[in-house]
Amino acid sequence: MLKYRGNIKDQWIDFKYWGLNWLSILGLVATNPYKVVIALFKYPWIYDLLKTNNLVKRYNEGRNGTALLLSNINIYYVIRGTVRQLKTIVYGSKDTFLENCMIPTEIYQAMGLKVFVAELPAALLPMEDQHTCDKYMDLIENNGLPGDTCSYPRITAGVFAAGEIPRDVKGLISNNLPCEAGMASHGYYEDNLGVPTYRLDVPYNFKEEDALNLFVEDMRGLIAFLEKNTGRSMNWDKLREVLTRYNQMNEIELERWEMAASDTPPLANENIWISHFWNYNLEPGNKDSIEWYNEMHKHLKKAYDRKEPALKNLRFRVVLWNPPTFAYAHFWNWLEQCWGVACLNDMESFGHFEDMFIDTTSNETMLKGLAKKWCNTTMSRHTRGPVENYLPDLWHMFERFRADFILVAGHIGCRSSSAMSGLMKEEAQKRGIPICIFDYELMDSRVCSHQGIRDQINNFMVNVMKAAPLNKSLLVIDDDSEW
Amino acid sequence: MKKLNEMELFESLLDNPENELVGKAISQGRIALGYNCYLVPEPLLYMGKAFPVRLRAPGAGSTDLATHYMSPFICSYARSILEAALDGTFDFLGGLVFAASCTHITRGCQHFEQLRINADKEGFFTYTIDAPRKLYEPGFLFLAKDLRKAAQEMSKHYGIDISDESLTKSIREHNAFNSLLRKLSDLRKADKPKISGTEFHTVMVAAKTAPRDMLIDPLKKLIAAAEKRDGIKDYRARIMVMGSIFDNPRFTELIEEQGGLVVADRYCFGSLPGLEEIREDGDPYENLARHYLGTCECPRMMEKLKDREQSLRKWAKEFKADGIIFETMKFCDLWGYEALSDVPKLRDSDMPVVRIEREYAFTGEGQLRTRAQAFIELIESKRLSKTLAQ
Repeated sequence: MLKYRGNIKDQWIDFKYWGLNWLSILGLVATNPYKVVIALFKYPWIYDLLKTNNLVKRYNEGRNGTALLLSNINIYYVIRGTVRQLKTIVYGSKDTFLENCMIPTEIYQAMGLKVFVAELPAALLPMEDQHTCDKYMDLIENNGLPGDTCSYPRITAGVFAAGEIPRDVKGLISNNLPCEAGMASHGYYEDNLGVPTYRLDVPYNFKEEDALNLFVEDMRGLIAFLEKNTGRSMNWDKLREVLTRYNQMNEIELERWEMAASDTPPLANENIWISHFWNYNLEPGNKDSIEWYNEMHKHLKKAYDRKEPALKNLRFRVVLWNPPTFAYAHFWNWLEQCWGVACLNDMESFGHFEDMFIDTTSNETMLKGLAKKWCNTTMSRHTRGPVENYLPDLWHMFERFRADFILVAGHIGCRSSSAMSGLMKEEAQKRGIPICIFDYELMDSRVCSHQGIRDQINNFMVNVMKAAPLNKSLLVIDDDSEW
Repeated sequence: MKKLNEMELFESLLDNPENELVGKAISQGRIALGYNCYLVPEPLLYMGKAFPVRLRAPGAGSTDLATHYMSPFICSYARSILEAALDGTFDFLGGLVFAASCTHITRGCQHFEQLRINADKEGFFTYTIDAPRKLYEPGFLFLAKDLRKAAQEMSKHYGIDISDESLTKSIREHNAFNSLLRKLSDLRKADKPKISGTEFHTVMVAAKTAPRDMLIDPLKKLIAAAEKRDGIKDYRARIMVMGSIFDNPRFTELIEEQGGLVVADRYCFGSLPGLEEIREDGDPYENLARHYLGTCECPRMMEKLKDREQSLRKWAKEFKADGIIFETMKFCDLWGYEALSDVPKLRDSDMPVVRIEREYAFTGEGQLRTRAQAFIELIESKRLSKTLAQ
């Protein structure tokens, strides 16, 4: 049930988006109820997505004003995007490509192709309900996959092994992102699917011109593969449109960074990374993405002009390193309410800051710009390339957003970032930067419970930051079995 | 079986990366270059006065310092190498050529630069080769160019001749040396093999950690001696070992102590792949690129899963393996997913397989012994059932 927020305007926002969310979901059913019913049997994880409005509730506990509005806008657009994704499999998947979550989707958009991101269930389900993916992880571990690999591809492999990812697809497109586990998991799908497959290989040392050119060649290979397997041609004008919208998103992104660096940052916590995660990784340059960004920006600018910060009690500014806590989606709300902490930027959102814009003057420049973008995308830039990208970006972010400390989500399944933890601590110490590394597992809250995460933060805030909680009753909450 | 005296030299080379022959070569003014992966072509590092030493950490135990830097959730090979480096084990090296092979090893190697290991040593350099993860023409050409860049570092720091002629000569010598190793390897194919898995493993590791020119004569003598002796007949099962990095023959010995005979070695430091001939005509850098990417059997290579499975079956047949020990290093995602695909398929095709997750250091001996024993018994019981059914 919707809780009264203390004023009519906020209450209306809550109600409006609650309704819009349901309408979007029902929109999927209304088009072809029969196929949706069949799909619910084939892909039962879709049921769990119905918990979305509860997620909104958890995100927005105690929030008002612009922060509440932005959070609602974010989830609403995520639902619309999810529905778009589901349509590619619910109404039949024979002409759909299964893909990895970090492929240059601009190319599909330009060619008008249907794609389904294999990692979609893994990305969304643990946010809706922390335990909903336990069964998939158990299944794949029983099949022989070590339980210590990153839970993101592990859940995906589990959903695949359970037969709940479409197999009658047109082809498989994957790459070596976001990490080796992700890359290797797609080998498992390729082995089982037996469909035409293309694998993009993002070079290690992509700052080198030769390496970048190699990736351009690889993308040409992808385009040729798609043309061969679909009979469609690459529409370069359409690509230009998509990239123009992407450039507009970049302009907004830079303005958002400026606002975040101010004394009254209007955007914080999951509202930053959710919009970035979806719009930069899954659907960059999509019409909905630019609409989403514009809609958020309109409200952000107003709040910025009014000097309305994202948190009523903003006490600490932080930057987040490593992926956010998917299995504890509303962690951010707790951080706000209990400690007054605002995360102003994070690794998901902080991509490359050199040459962000793509030159659309020719097909060549577009391909090269795309190559650079995807070599520098989240995790490609930070957690698999040269070390020079990993730590210097962090110190840059710390200064740029005038943070009080760095929050590091120490995902124990992430080899690449775990392997840098010692250097990070030593360097932070040399620079006099407080750093809070909390251990957790990205999507498996059985490894580190919600309270386990909170305890680590509580200890840091009390002992290092010498802070007192805003609300003592939130220090320990029994929510380990809740959604 | 009688122990061969000719093995003594090879055995003595494994205790310390700076072994007797490495020390001798350095005293002659030669440059030892460390490397971390199959994808760093050995002939490249054998040009001129240089010679390669593949990074190992024999006697690895505690990795406290490395674990501080890299966390406990990283492969213990990467941590052990870093620990050894921090202890000064690799101070004798004149440079390091790495391949960005897998995340663990790459991150481990990045620490060499970040912690400035050997950085103040005169002439010392590090270079990381960006090896593509798939086989395609632009990738081969890119790698060839990158290998030239690595060679340029060798030339810049030590004045090594890196001309095409110099590299071709190195490739020729590499092929000649490998033909000797192949001869030794082929002895394992016989029904009564004249060399044990432990002995062969020892030779392979020694060949990667000492200058090969100093091993030619001892190797020839070893082959001659092995050919003369009686073959091994008192084994219970022929085993193929495959998986992650495996550079301690003590593991192989443990399997053989239980009655297994390790006849095929498909792992890093093994010979499958590793002994194939490299083309000697044409552009030598391109030849290296094509050869090493093409023969690499590491699951880091995308798109080759089915090919790897096929070559695995081919080798199992060629060496008449009765069963496969699939050993993976703990926390290795690549081999974890590879096993997820391969192990069920091998079992379905009636090939006995056991999956063993292990650490780099020789620990958990009792547990390994029990598992090896049980596996050999399983192979025997399957064999018995088959015979009875017939």
